[in-house]
Amino acid sequence: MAEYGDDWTGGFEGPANVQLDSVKEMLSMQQSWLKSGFAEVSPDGHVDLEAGFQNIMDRNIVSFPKAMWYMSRFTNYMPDEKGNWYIAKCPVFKEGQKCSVGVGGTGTVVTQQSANKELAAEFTCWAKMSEAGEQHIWDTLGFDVCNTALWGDEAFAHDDNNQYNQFFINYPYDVLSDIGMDNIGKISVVSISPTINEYLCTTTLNEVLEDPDYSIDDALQEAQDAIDMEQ
Amino acid sequence: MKIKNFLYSQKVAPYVFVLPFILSFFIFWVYPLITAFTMSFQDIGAIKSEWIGFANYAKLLKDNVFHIAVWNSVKYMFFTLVLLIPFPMLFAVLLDSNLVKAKGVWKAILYMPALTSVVISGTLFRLMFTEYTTGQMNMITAALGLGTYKWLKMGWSGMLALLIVACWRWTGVNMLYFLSGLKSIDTSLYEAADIDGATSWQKFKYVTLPLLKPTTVYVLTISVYAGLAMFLESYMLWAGNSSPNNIGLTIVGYLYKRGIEKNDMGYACAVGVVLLVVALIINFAQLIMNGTFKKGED
Repeated sequence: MAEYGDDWTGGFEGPANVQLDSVKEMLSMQQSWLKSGFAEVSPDGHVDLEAGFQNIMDRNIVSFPKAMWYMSRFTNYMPDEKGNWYIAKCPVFKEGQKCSVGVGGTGTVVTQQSANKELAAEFTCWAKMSEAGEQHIWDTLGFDVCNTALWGDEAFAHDDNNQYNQFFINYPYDVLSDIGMDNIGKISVVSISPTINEYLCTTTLNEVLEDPDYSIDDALQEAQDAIDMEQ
Repeated sequence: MKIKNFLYSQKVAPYVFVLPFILSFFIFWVYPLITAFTMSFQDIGAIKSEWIGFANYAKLLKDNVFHIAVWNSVKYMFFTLVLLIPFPMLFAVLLDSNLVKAKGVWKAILYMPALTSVVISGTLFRLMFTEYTTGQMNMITAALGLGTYKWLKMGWSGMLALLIVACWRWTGVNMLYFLSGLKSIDTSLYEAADIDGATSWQKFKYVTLPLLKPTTVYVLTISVYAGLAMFLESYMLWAGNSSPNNIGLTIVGYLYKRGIEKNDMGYACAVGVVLLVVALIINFAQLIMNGTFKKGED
């Protein structure tokens, strides 16, 4: 969806619309992969549960798509995978499309009600923007940092002592730098987002991917009806 | 002297003793109940709330996901009643008879699951019911030549998993209720039945069952509510409040989804009020049918 420049939330102006051609194209591609047998739905639904970790460690899959925050799953659940993985850009449907997507991140808002707004804001800026703060974010949490100047910083990006870098043959930040800010698409996070995400994840994707013959149009119509009830 | 008089006063003392209960009843039950009821007619916002009449209830009528949640909870309640009343009663009768040796051991084994945390046991059951080939249930079915199943993705097997957790956890508790009920039955009744030449089945049917009725009605009443209000088991079994096609969503799960996950407290309160009304209707109906409110019984 983001590769085509679409956004099903409709942004802040709304309304949300999940019946997009880009969404249909993605789902029909996934259905055809499942039918041909070269892709599978991860056991128990996604790669962020024990069955998914085991499936990875049992060498049943050669690739899976996941956001950078997945890093800690390697250290926590799959320590034996050190040096086994290669991180790559997301493939695109057509040349020239964006090959990554930003869908928000860990909340970094200072609310009006907070007792010490200045201090909270100062800390948030230090943690999310300063080199020292970003170093902690990457070393401890394994998230991709927002300070893009650090992406190309040799000492930061190529630190072989970093516990997450050790899992990869190449360096994750080299891939991020290669993608570049201009190639990162955007999906808004607005008040209808939880409704869309929840309906798609619990119902639509289960319908379409657990039964590759299920009509994508029907599934998306059901989703749209449920979302329309909330907007 | 005055304090002593006050403490020793037969008129005041009972009120002092029941005060803690009355206070907690009003603070933690009556007050939230009234607040929830009024909130169910409002659109609760972060800054201000407004009265919207029956809009939340009208939305509930059209809300398919809520209907799925109600149906799941009712099904779960029904099956827990079917499984968690006759079997614990049977086990209690067996443990009360001379047919079973090492009674203490059996009681402890059956009761132990109730002492564990649902968070821990639910996680273990989730891992046992994984659709991956190394899951315990799939290893058993595969060894029997039945293949592997996506246990937690299909309606019937998801409900089966919930019921297995419920039986594992509550059989011992209900059995203890029935055991205590059996202890209160006068043994001379059985002796009299023996003299009259009653068989074991006749003794069970004409002495045990009728005299166990108060216990049975109590277990039935709390089981109806426990079944309708189930949430944590489902939450742990699906590692969160979302299950494929909502096969594990319960009324309280939906209340949590609306109130906490989507921050729509007014709508969540409407869900809560519906749960209360459904539980009250079912329980009053069964209590009236069982004659609990009739005078002069028991």
